[in-house]
Amino acid sequence: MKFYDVIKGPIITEKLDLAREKHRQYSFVVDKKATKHDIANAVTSQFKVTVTGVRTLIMRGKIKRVGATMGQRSNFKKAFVTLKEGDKIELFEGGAA
Amino acid sequence: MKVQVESVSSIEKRLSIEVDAQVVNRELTEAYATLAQQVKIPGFRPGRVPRRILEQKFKNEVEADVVRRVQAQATVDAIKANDVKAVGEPHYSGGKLVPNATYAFTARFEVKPELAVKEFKGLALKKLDATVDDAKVTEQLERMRESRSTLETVAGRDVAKTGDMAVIDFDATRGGQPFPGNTGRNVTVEVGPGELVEGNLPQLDGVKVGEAKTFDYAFPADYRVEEVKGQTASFTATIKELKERRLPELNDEFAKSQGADTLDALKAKVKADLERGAKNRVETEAREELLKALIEKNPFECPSSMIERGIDFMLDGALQSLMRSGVDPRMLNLDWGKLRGDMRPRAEVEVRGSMLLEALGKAESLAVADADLEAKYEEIAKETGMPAAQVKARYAAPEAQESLKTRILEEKAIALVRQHAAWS
Repeated sequence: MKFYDVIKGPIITEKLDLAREKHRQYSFVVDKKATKHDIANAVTSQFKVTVTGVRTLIMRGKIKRVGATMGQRSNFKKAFVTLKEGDKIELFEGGAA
Repeated sequence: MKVQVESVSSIEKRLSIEVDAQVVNRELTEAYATLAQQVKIPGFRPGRVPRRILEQKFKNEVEADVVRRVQAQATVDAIKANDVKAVGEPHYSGGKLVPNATYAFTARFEVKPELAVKEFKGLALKKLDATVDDAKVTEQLERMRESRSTLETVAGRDVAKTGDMAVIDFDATRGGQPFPGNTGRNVTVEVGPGELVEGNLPQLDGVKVGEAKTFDYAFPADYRVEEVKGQTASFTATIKELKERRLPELNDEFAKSQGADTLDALKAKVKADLERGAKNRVETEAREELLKALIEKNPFECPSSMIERGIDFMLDGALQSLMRSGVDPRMLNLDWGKLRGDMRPRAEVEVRGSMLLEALGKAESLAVADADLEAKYEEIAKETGMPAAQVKARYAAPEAQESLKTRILEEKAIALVRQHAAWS
């Protein structure tokens, strides 16, 4: 799996902004089949930083109802990546799309 | 804040202003704080968006906004601090705003020039006549009679002559074919020189009542009916009745219908009205002439923004008088650009003239005393028919009083110029 397939996008919220400031933790939506190693490699090569830890979880898609039919939004994998002290990812520093 | 004042010309100044970094930062912080309250960004509660993220998204807008604010504020302060008499809007030029750095820009604007009236003595002015002679009164009375005229059937004569009003039926064809509006029944026309399209039919002179007359008529080339303009049509008109205009007798009864008790009273009233009108007209003309002469003798550069403002002022006055007479200016489809262009020469005379008069007043140290104000109140009271106390109350507000004082000063300056003028 190539690194550009792994990372699907950043997650930027108020809570994660705190985590970034305090613990240098950055969060991404990643491919569901990506392993922690894949994610670490992808972040390293894409942002030129050193990764010290990766934690992942599968976010369950919300159950939504449209009229009488029930549906489910897709599950996705969320990853928290911790960086080495002093490293940072510019994308998050200035906010992003 | 550092300010440098440069004179570009007698009517233009340039301020080079440097705004402290501290002020810049304060304004920026404030702008982002306000913005944070207003925008909604996914992932953040309202008002909790960090400035970094706002900067990423709205940097250009916020900074442009802050630049405008800083410029305006600093310019106002600088104008106050340096006692510059600015007129019109400033034109700014300056670079981008950088946080934590001083912001330098220049503001260019027009200033009221320092005027010295060098020549105001010996202006060649014409004396204008405001007297009303009896002939004009008679003329006016005739007009009033005419507006009250009645149409009465002619008795004892059945041949139309010039000056009669004829009730006619008419049919017309163009090349044997009818056209829009080609027939009329019981139409009142005047027998006399003029155009058919205006209701004057010279062709009917000498035609008997009940008789028909056929004649050709060429429509004018700019006639409003598309089908017949510039073409000749054949008309057949039959006179049904002849009427003549009867003017009311010029006597006390007529005077009463015009709101006066006797004929003499009416005459006096008409004369007074005419005199008032003539006096107003002459005064306006004389003032304009005087201003023009003064301007010619004392040329100076005048800020265009002041002239624009003069035009605004005149337009305003014109629109207000329109509205007072019950016309909605929006319905008139006015061409504002052209209107302004038409008004420019007069506005320029007015603006330049009053600037010169003001300068003259200053140079000759004319002042408005309380007695002058009182006299003015009396004068206005007499003109408008309001009690003097009411007039006084109306001008009690500082701005109103100030504008009245300016008016008195102008009048005094005009009187001074007149005193020294070479009359012809």
